[in-house]
Amino acid sequence: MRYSGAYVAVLVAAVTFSLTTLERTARASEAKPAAGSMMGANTILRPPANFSGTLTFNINRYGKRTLLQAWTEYLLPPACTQVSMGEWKPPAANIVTKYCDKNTTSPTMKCGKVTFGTITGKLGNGDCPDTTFTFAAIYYKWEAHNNQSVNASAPPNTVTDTFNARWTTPDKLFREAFTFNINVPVVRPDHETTAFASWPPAVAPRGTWTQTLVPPSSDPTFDFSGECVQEFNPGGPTICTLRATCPDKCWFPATTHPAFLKISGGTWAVGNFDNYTCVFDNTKSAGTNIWGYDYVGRAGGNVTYYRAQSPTLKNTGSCGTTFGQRMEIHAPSDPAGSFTPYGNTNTGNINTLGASETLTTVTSIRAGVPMTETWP
Amino acid sequence: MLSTMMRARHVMLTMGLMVSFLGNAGASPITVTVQDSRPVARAIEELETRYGWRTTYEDPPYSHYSDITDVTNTDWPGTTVQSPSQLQSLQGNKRTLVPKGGSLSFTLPSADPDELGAVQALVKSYNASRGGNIFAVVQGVGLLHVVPRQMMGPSGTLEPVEPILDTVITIKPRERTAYALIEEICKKISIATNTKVDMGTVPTNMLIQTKTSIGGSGKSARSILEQLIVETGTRLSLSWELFYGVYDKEYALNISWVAPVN
Repeated sequence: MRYSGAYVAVLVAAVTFSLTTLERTARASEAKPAAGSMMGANTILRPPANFSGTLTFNINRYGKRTLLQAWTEYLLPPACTQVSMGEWKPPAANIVTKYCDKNTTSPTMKCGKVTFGTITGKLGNGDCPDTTFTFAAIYYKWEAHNNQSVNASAPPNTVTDTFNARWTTPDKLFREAFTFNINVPVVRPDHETTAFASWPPAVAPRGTWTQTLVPPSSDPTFDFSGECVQEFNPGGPTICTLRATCPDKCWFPATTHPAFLKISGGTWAVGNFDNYTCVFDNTKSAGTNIWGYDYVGRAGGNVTYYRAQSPTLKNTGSCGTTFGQRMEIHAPSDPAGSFTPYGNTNTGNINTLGASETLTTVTSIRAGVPMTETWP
Repeated sequence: MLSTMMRARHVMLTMGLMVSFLGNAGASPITVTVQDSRPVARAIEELETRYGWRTTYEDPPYSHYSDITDVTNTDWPGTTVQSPSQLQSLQGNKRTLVPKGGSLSFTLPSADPDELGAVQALVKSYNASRGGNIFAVVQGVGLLHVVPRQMMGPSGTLEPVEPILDTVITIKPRERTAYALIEEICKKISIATNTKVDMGTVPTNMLIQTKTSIGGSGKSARSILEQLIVETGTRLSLSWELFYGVYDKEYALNISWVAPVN
């Protein structure tokens, strides 16, 4: 979904109310009070006195606040005088919006901010076209630079905030209740960078690698922490039968160690080290947008075996394998099981992974970058 | 031959390996043929691919020259070893020696067979071709296991085999990664049997990312491994193959992910 036109709110979906019931403000009832929304501010035409509806807005993130609704109470023509601009309740500071916080147990960061104000303009229903009224306005501004809001009913590739507010008049004639759904586009990483981390003895001689997700240049402070990345197999052979065509050059027919040809399908929580649950853990912080570790390499017994047995290694002094890895990301706002690729060659889509060895060294390869150590 | 080929439902043919499924669509029996250095393991892989079953496999030791071939300079089937003295010489020269294997053909009970019936048919056919009971099918708690019962001994006669994964071990229950558990199992078998069992090709990230508290006292290594496989269930859908190395006389425990079949 593309969002264009900066800061322009677009009323897109459900405006659910009845125009037929409780039509207490019929045009025929001249000189009687009526409630009206402002022209150009997502006008709702002639709502009942106790309107209750859901308004959905697709807006851009950040920038200027978006005018959601503006209402006033006036006398129907020919009087055309303002009775009251009414007020929004509860107070803006007390409106319950959603949290956009990777710390889901004690969240503090709200998705956005609701504010009230006054604005002058014409009625959107066509009444009193020569009269300018003052309206009570409600605004929203998305503030969270993340995709943390969870909403199972959100449209694809959007992040949603939801809150309730009502507009009432002092004479208690009108009480218009709204549920506002605010959709902003989900943000995906532009790409990832990779850096070698270590050779942990517990899984020797595999190398570990850490990655940093790089936000799009349009939103450089975006925080993907708390999202989930997963590696996928982009294809390629899954079994070898002939040396000549096998990508794993250490392999030989009937070896006790099947060819090393593919990734294993790991998942990682962004912002954590060694958290493979896809649920952010504050105790395993790795820094903003960093994830790891990705373990790349053969098991020690595997290396020892091929050093003794591989004809290629015996003949040429080294052997190795490479294969592909496609990285994809899942935001909390995405449907379960939905992942989206990011990056380009060796920055996510598709990375070259591999492992090679000589009689004295092993090499771990990620994103085409080799790192070699003497082993054992 | 032509009609046979026309009835082929699936044929894969390479220089070193052949697998074919022959039979009519519907309820008629299907004949599976494989050619491989480890034909029983290869046939199990084919059934895994076709039906999504997870059946584990354990090699018997290979020690008789007639069971061994040299693939140092060629692809399988390589150069067959002709005598005990030649085998000794090849081993001394550090040649790349592997199981000779061969062809295995078996008929599935139906086009939609049950796992036990299919694996039993496979093993029965192989055993008949070798004139013995080389393998047996063992029903575990949640998996079928094809385990060795006999091997061709150095004298050329069939000898009983004690499957190395029947080794009784003790693993202290504590939370660890699945990777660490498998490593511990291999180590405990190696110590108990004085035969090295190493971790082979495994899905590293997947195993490192899986936590388990499995352990047990006086249990077979197979049952502890099976407990892990069952515990991780369809989420990981793992299986294993334990392969014996002719040259180093060591085992490699390979863990693989079995893709679901739609």
